[in-house]
Amino acid sequence: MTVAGSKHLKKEGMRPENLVQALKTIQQVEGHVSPESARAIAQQLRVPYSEVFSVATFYHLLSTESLGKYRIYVCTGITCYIKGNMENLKYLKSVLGIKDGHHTSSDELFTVEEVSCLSCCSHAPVVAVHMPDGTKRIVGRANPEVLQKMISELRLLAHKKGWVK
Amino acid sequence: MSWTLMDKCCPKCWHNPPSNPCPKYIECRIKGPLCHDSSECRKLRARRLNELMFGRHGIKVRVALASCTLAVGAADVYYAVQEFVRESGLAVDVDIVGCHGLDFIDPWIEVVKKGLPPAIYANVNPEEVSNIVSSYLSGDVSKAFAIKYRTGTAKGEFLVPTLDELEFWRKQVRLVGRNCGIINPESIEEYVARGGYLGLVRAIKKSPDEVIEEIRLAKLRGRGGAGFPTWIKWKAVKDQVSDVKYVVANAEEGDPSAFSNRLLIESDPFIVIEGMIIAGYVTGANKGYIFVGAEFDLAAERLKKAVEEARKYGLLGDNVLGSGFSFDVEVFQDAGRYTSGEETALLEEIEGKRSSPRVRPPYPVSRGLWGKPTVVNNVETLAHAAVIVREGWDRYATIGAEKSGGTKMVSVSGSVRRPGVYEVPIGTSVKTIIDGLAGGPPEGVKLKAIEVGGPAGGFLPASEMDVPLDYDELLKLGVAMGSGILIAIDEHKCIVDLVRQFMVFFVSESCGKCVPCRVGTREMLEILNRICCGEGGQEDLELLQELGETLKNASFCALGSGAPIPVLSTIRYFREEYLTHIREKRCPADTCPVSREVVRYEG
Ligand SMILES: Cc1cc2nc3c(=O)[nH]c(=O)nc-3n(C[C@H](O)[C@H](O)[C@H](O)COP(=O)(O)O)c2cc1C
Ligand code: SF4
Ligand code: SF4
Ligand code: SF4
Ligand code: FES
Ligand code: FES
Repeated sequence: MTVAGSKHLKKEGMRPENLVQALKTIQQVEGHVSPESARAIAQQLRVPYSEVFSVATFYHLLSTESLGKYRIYVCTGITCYIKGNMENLKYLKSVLGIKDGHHTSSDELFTVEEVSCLSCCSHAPVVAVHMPDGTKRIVGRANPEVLQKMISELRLLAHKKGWVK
Repeated sequence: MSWTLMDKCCPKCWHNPPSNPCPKYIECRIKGPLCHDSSECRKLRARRLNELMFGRHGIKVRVALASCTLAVGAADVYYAVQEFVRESGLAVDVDIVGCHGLDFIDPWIEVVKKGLPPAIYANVNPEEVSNIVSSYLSGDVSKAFAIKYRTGTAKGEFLVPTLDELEFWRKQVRLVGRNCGIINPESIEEYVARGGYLGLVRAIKKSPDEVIEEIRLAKLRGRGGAGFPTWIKWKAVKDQVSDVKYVVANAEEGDPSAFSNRLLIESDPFIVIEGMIIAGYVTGANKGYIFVGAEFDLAAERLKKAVEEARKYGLLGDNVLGSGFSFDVEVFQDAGRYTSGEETALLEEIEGKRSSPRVRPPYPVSRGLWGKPTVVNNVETLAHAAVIVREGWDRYATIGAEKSGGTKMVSVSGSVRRPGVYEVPIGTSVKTIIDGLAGGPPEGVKLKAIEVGGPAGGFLPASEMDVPLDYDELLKLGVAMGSGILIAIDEHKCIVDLVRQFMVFFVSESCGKCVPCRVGTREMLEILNRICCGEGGQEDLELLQELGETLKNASFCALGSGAPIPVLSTIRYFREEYLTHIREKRCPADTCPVSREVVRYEG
């Protein structure tokens, strides 16, 4: 676990009941929950490692694998589904060069996943971007043109911040 | 910062929570001062109320900032308004509001100037902002979408409808949503200025039993899906002997295509907290949790702010308004899982575990959070409770259906001209909501079905649209009210394909604890995939029905028992569509693989 991670963790409290909270914190600070971090959490909260792992793999916003800087969530709730978000999903994966069965682009800048509803259904189809700083952007009335613009902006920002290798 | 309505008016005010709170603090904000007489103190209040309405200099621009408006560019509109004010050098206050639920007008702003009719502008572009505001200030409202009331002083005023003249506004009954889009969701002051917290004041003047009786007479039923009478739950927790009890507000809103809870919290977080404090007072709980959906960051942020403000002014904490009752609230955000919305799974997650449902009984009312008696209510239910206690049960009970009082905020999306959230009396017909409020389908499009209630709700054929939106009436047609969702499905969509997509959702969200759900949903998906690919047989429909009945009866929680409802309701009403796929190897809507050269779903 990183120093920043363990510092944040202390703030969440150190009892078993803080497990979900602790995992969310590590996910946020380190981008994913690595086996080392999971082990550290297990130790500090006095929870079996297997339990930490089982909780970490249960929730959609936690990931035990490393993800892209930007995580793009494409809504496949019924309203977005009928408004064409499957096409948007396909489009995103193809422009980002993400193959079927994979989720993260080879430059590790983008991860594309499905989500069940972003509760902005009146502006379907909807896509959300989880930014590296923990904030979220919601993009309504999405189509390839809108998404192309969004990707360009995110790429530009990544260059400015030096996130690209 | 300048004086706000929540502050002491003069040194004579002795309100000093928690050691010495004034029981009349809330009433005194608007009507006061109540313990001393001073024209200065009265004037102070009047001036501040006026400021809240029109700004410090008589002009105010409100920008609607909620997830939905932000999704279509409201942030840029907000910056444009600020930029305009800076550049023009005009003395204008810029403020935020939540949302009206009229999502087709997003992004929108409201401009008010003393002496002119307050005007709402719809679908605003950042580039238009300076034109809109300048022309309004010059006394021309002709470009407005609607005005709030007429003053007879503006150009074009009589060409623009007032909100109340618009059918989709007038036909709503806005009880819990009355502040949505009206107040600043980050200012407790504006909530109190509109009568907020008077429900709490009334509640603590009564005994818990008296409040429970009011909730019973109001016929309030839970808005989270099951429609359980709220008073029974509250009484059960009240009757438990325990020194620790909890109130949990369920703001998970996990049903796809539901967005009314999010809208309510983002637009008026205060009413939910007020409802929670009342529930705490009635049941004897001293601690509350608000469980917020994983994607609801803005809602969580606004709730946290509202909690802080309530603490600051003694509405949360020890000795609330001198009643001797103490209550505090914590906001907890889900890590992302549909089952987290189930009332016992949600408690598991707060306790740091996987959100799998618990064995019931014992029910949360006797053994809930940390094994203590716990009320779990949907956030809208709690907001209704606050309204009932403030306004009295008698008026409330006259609104709504015979066995179910009041209103429901309904999330309307899909093929309609005016998607959004509409608050209507329970028992309003689906047709009134879809056609009257949401404007029906776009020109040239015909509706085929209405998906009611979300994933575990079911599909109604368009011919059954006269059914009232009511727990009992919908059940008679084999669908459920759920969390108040209506999705308009037009004739270009394939029902079988949509049902299949629902099943994809259930397969991915089944928590895996029990076999019927874990295995059954997968099997049903397999069959649906088969049918959509043109490999289905006649026996598949029977198989689906059999599996569906098994899931309904043998699943551990309502996810599993609800999962077959979309399938069963469509086999009932849209059998022909299934048969076309099976017999003619053709998708009537031309969207399934059977009608296209696509091989197979990934599954
Ligand atoms: C799988 C599942 C998901 C649920 N999700 C929610 C939800 O997101 N919000 C909610 O209020 N109730 C949800 N419920 C219903 C709750 O279990 C519970 O009935 C409700 O919160 C009680 O509040 P009420 O009496 O005020 O309706 C869900 C139930 C199940 C089985
Ligand atoms: S009545 Fe009003 S002015 Fe007097 S102590 Fe109470 S809050 Fe203060
Ligand atoms: S073939 Fe097409 S119309 Fe038929 S069920 Fe499948 S998707 Fe729907
Ligand atoms: S019915 Fe499904 S979601 Fe509910 S407990 Fe069983 S496996 Fe979990
Ligand atoms: S269905 Fe996509 S935002 Fe709700
Ligand atoms: S304008 Fe608020 S939900 Fe859309």
